[in-house]
Amino acid sequence: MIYIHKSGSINVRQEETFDVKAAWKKVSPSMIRRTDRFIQLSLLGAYNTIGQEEIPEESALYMASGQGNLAVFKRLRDQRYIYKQPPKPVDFINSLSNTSGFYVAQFFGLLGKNLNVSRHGLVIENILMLAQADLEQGREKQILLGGVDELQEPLDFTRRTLGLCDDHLLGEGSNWLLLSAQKEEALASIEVLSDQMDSLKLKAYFASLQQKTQVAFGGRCESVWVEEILKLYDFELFEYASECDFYETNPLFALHRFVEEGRGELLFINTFNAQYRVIKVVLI
Amino acid sequence: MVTILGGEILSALGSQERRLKHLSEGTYQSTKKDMVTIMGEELSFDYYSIDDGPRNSALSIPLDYLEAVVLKTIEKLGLDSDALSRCGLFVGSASNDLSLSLPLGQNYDNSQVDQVACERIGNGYYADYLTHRFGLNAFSLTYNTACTSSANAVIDAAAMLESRVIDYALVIGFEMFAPISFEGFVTMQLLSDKAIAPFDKERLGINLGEAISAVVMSRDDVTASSWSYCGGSSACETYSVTGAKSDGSGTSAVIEKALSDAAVTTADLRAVKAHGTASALNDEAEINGMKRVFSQQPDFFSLKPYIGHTLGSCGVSELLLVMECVDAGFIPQTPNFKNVDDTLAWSPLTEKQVCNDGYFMLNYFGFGGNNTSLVIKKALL
Repeated sequence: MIYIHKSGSINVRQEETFDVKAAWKKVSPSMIRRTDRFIQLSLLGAYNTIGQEEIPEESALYMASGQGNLAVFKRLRDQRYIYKQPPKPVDFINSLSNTSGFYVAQFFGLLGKNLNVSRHGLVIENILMLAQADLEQGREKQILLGGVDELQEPLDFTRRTLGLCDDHLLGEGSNWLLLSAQKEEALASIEVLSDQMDSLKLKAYFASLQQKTQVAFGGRCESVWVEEILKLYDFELFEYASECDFYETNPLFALHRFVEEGRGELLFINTFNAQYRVIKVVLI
Repeated sequence: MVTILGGEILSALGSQERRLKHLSEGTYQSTKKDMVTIMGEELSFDYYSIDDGPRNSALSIPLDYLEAVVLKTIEKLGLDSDALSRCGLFVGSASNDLSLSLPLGQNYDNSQVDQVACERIGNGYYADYLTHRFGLNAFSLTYNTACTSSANAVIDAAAMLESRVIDYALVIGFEMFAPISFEGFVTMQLLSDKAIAPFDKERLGINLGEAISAVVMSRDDVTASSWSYCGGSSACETYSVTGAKSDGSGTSAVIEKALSDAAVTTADLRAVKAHGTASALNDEAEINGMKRVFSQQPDFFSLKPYIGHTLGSCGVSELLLVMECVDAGFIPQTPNFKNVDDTLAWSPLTEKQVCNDGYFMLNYFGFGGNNTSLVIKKALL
């Protein structure tokens, strides 16, 4: 079993504007010059989780993103194809996906493993499974695990490339958890069920549950299906979706909100390509 | 115990027969010159291409190559559908996925929005495609940690195997020519316009290359192998975003942790596959790192002169080349090394050595402070 010791968040709705640079400048004016908005978003979300507290330098950092730092890729594209210029070194370096993780590690003095991973759908579930394996086997003692997505214009283009074919509102965010295998002083336990399930298998799992539980659903779950599940199984809905528009890593926002304001136990259900994964969080 | 079953590699060295001939003789295929115009100046650099085919002209190109390499690996190892359904997928690449890069490039003036299909694309597209194409287990992750991408994927594949979530792991290293990446290396003055010469006094920098490689790992209770993964370590060095500290403090830390994780000492190692990019500071950081850990110079070599620096692919590509060489009974020499650099004082192997078994360390150091070291073993069965 692994445990959440801290959680923190930056979450921005589609209609909101958030001056990340100004917010980060208040925290660390010296780390502005070579960083871009995606990196600053990463830093600020991690700072909202850890704050000024020192964490052991051997702690690992696992970072996930739906699409990574697309803004810098666009800058490089424009430099090459529109302005016929070579890439600016700072943009080239920031285009490497793990650069944001480097700056987060540098700010918090973390010298452990530093990963940057992506996946089509269920990226948070899969990276949590890796964290679970590493912590339970004692490979890592503590992992700062985050998900970062930056909203990109034009929204229709972004929506299509995320495979969202309706009018989903799109947001952005940087949400982080500090995880370890130690129960002492933990806020909650967290577990990703190892089976990826289709709808039938998921329903059989729901039917096997012995006690009434709270549930929350990922942004790719169809609302009609969600309503059906809520009716069928007498679940209580943990509401976070009204505060959060879609981005691939927003399950971490849901978990953060549950840790902040929930009670008891939560099953977070998410889907991609008609396959489902379940994250179970139990507050301590 | 985590076993390494074998794999397949597509690189500038060509077929397995040609690969082994080159590696055995210390030669490599002629490389093509890639031209780039920077600030009005026309520059050319050696580049190790898989073939002379077009690049970046169609989305299907990387998928065709990837699919062929994975198919060949599956056939070579005789993996059936049951084994594949228990096989997780770990893809390592330093590049952004072309599935999104291409439409982003074409939509620079926002005129193409309506022509983009409503389909999830971007990093993870290749993994998603391969998972469905070959009926793999649902667990997959795509790694973007620069030059250590697929080496880190190997470490995590081992962790997921040991956790028994999966019984097999398909680990892929993937890198093909990317113009922006190539020009980025040029503007940072990291490329050499001469042949790559790791650790040589006159080394001038990197030659880039393409490689697509796939290796399958398992556990000995599932499938035995003469090759095993003994341990590894990945760490972040926060000294500089562009490279390891030249005093070797960062590189030595990860080497020591890898040895500890593998429960071996430097005396147990038969040889070290160095990262050996031939950039002045990286080679210095690597040698200084080894000097902090090894009491005397180990046998070490760089594979970059054979296939170029294949960035995120080098983790798996160079792992497979080491396995192929030892399976064929030798450790390769490092081509193009002529003169000892006084500041390094250590020299890579300049002649191949007979070798059929033993422990091997494989080092990888990348941008973003990402340092990774693996220890593998070939046992005589």
